[in-house]
Amino acid sequence: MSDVSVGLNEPQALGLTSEAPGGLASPRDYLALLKPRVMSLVIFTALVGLVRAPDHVHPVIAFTALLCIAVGAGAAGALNMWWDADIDAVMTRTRNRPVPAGRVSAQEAFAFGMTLAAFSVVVLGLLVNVLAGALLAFTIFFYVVVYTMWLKRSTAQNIVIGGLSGALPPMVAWAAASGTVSLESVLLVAIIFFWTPPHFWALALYRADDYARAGVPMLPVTAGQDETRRQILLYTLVLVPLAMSPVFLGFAGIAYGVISAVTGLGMLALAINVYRRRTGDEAVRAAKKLFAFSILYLFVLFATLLAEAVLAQAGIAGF
Amino acid sequence: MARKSQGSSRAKARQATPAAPRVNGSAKPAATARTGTPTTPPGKPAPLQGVVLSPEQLRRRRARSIAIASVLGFLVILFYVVTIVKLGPGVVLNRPL
Repeated sequence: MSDVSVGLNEPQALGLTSEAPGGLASPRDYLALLKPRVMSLVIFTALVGLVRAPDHVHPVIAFTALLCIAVGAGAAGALNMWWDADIDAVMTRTRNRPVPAGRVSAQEAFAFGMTLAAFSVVVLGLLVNVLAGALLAFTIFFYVVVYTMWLKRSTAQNIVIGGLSGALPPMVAWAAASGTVSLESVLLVAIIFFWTPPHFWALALYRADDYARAGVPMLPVTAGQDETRRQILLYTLVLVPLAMSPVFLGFAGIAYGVISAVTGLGMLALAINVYRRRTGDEAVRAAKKLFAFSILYLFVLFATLLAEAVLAQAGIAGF
Repeated sequence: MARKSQGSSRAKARQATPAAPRVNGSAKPAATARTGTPTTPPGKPAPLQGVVLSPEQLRRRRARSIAIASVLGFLVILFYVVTIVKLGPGVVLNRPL
């Protein structure tokens, strides 16, 4: 492999090309590789885990932990885009991502993702604690290898099992703050884990053609729309009481109980709506409503948990 | 290894028939691109100019370089602050004068 021409096309190998190919990636393209929207959800849920952990953590260490978790999530996103460039190029939603659009090469995305993954894990392990670093490494591994490389193209349960990687950030943050993993952190993970299928399958219901064209075996593609609607309803029936369980287990206050009950009923009503409306624009509208509300639902749940923890730490009675 | 021998034969071909490098897709040979007068003595092959970036590529490379420098600077500050925090207040308050 000592040949310097390896990896070059013929004109480049001959030294005849005067204009550099590529090289048009801007910092914004590299930022896009990190999937900033997913990253923002990761940061938010991790912040909740960090604040709710029983041990006090210095703000600088807390910031470092959040930064490492965010960068680790971004690294996983970049590696996902490296592996899935062929799928992304076919799907309408993803065809303008930096790799399929040709602004960043697959090799650059791979190098970028691997560097950030290694860096975030090592820094979290060294500056915060080893358990948090190990959990972050597992999260990245699970998302990239188990979900992206294996499950996504092979089973309709891809987002169910793969959803674990998206659910783990609060536990990583909890471990960063306390050095341990407790039942409450497992509960936070479980809420996101059971939230993932209704959320993504609602999207998949009205993007089924896109997934079919790309050859991704999402549930609406492999099992049909009706079965997907049934599964959405079943997962929502598990999710709503699970999301209320922190109250019954004594982890959350009455405010969370009320809010999780009200928003849970909303989630359930929309899931029933999706189950009942199966054809035409009404069906698409119902799926879109559920998809949008599911984001709000998770945000409200975690924001309430965060607010309760902050108010309790501030010594305000009742929380 | 086949690729290597292919590469060396390509190098020979390059020596035998040198191509005039072009600047930013211009049809003008590189040696005359800036001054308008040929600088290569007649009968000698024009020197290869290698990779030439377009103004847009240069601009974006500069933006990437600034971004990398900013991140590195931020990391230096972060590691310094975390080190101080990890060492505790003693490193600042109990230092002998």
